Amino acid sequence: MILFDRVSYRYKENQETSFALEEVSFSLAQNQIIGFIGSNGCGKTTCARLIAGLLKPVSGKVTVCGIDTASEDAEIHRKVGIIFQNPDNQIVGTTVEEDIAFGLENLALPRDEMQRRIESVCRELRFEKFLKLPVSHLSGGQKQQLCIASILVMQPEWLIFDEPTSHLDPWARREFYQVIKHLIESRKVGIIMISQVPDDFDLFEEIHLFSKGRLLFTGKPEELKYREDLQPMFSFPEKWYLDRLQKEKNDQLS
Amino acid sequence: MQITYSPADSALYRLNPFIKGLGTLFIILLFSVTMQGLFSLFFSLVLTILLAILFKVELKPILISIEKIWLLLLLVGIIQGFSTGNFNPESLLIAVIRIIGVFVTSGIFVTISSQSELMYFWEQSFRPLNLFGFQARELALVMVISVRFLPVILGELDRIRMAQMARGARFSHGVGLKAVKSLMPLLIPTLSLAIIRAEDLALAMEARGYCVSRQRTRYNHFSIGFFDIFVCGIMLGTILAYVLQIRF
Ligand SMILES: Nc1ncnc2c1ncn2[C@@H]1O[C@H](COP(=O)(O)OP(=O)(O)OP(=O)(O)O)[C@@H](O)[C@H]1O
Ligand SMILES: [Mg+2]
Repeated sequence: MILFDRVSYRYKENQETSFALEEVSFSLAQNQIIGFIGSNGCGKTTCARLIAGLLKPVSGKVTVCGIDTASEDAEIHRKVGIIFQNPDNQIVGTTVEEDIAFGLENLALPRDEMQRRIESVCRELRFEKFLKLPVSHLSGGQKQQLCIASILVMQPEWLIFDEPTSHLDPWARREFYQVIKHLIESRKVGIIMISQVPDDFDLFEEIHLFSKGRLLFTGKPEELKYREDLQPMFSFPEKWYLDRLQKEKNDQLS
Repeated sequence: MQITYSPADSALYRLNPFIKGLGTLFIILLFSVTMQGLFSLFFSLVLTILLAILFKVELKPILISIEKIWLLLLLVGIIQGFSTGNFNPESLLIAVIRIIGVFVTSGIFVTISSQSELMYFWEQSFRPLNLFGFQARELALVMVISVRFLPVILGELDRIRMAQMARGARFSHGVGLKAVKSLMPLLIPTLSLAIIRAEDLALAMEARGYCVSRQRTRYNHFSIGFFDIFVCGIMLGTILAYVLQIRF
């Protein structure tokens, strides 16, 4: 369970007006794919970093699995795994194996436990054949899979993806979603996905729409589809527009 | 092509990371501070390269990257060439070989050391500093991040150069100050990108539970083997021979 209680955040301390997030409140339940959407600079990434405990709210309170992120509790990093936009900037190791082990070393696990976890996650993601390779030999999609593996070995309860599909081709994107579906079926985990790709929207079970640091809408994608009042704040995908026209036509006919 | 860790199976790769680092330092000193003639320096360089090939080190990216430091080679070469007043080609060549030697040796070190090995090496090296209250871990981290990003930064440099050329910038291959000046517009964006990347990496490390002051365990264990002792022996022997040769 993730709770945001009137959370505000601003990057420049001294500027009263420059809010990245302003009095945002919501709660997220596990075992579903939650989508954060909204235009550039509306505060999605900021929100994700607040959940992961990488930023502390200026006012309000963020609670993740019962832990207040403002407390200096390192347990938060075990509960929440976050995968950033650019895989290159988050791979620490020089080989695949080393990078996956990095998080486990930080948890101060014994070596055989590390080995056990690495083996089981790599088998699950069919990543064994890459284990000994240097990271520089991986493609963009494989690097992203490595990032997922590195997070999964830490057995988090929440997984956050910051625009994971924006630099994948359509096939890699489908593969990515298969991995996600498998994850959600095989373990108790909540998934938060930040995305601006319209194709992704239909896969979300719950959508949070942000605009200029405020939460505009929370609910099912089907509801959002017919919220014409939100049109000026958010450019709806073309397909939704067509769906809406179709529905109006059907309504007129009946 | 970037100089980065490229695994292989050989005795050199299996060396204890600390001995690897020590050996690298040793060879770098050999190239940079010892008083050697042109022939002996050239011989050392060839020997280093031959040994690297023998131990299956991927040398191609390193040799190709020598081209990237041509400006440095040229500048130092010319300054050294004129150091005695009138131009002396031998001093020029000596300076160039010294720099190439140091460059190739560091390149080999980066190619044969994985991140955890580098981390181990720097942590061990900085350990005495703990006595003075410095955090060895923190320093080791800084070193590892800089080595990790060096190839990325070089790649970025190329990319920015191309982007600026596409927008009409000209990078004349002039000599001396003119060449340095034409590289300045590249420097600022490259540095700022490097800083952004380092910040991102630090954030990602924190998200994965890294904390400088907390105890961690190691996935890889490093031991001292026969070959480690052998390499130490060779280094000690060379130092002894060098000192004796200077004394008598
Ligand atoms: N490090 C920073 N320093 C200062 N301001 C920042 C920083 N990061 C983000 N901001 C500002 O905070 C606001 C929200 O940024 P955020 O990164 O959360 O947006 P986003 O929704 O993730 O956008 P995008 O879709 O472009 O990734 C933006 O106005 C941005 O300019
Ligand atoms: Mg973002």
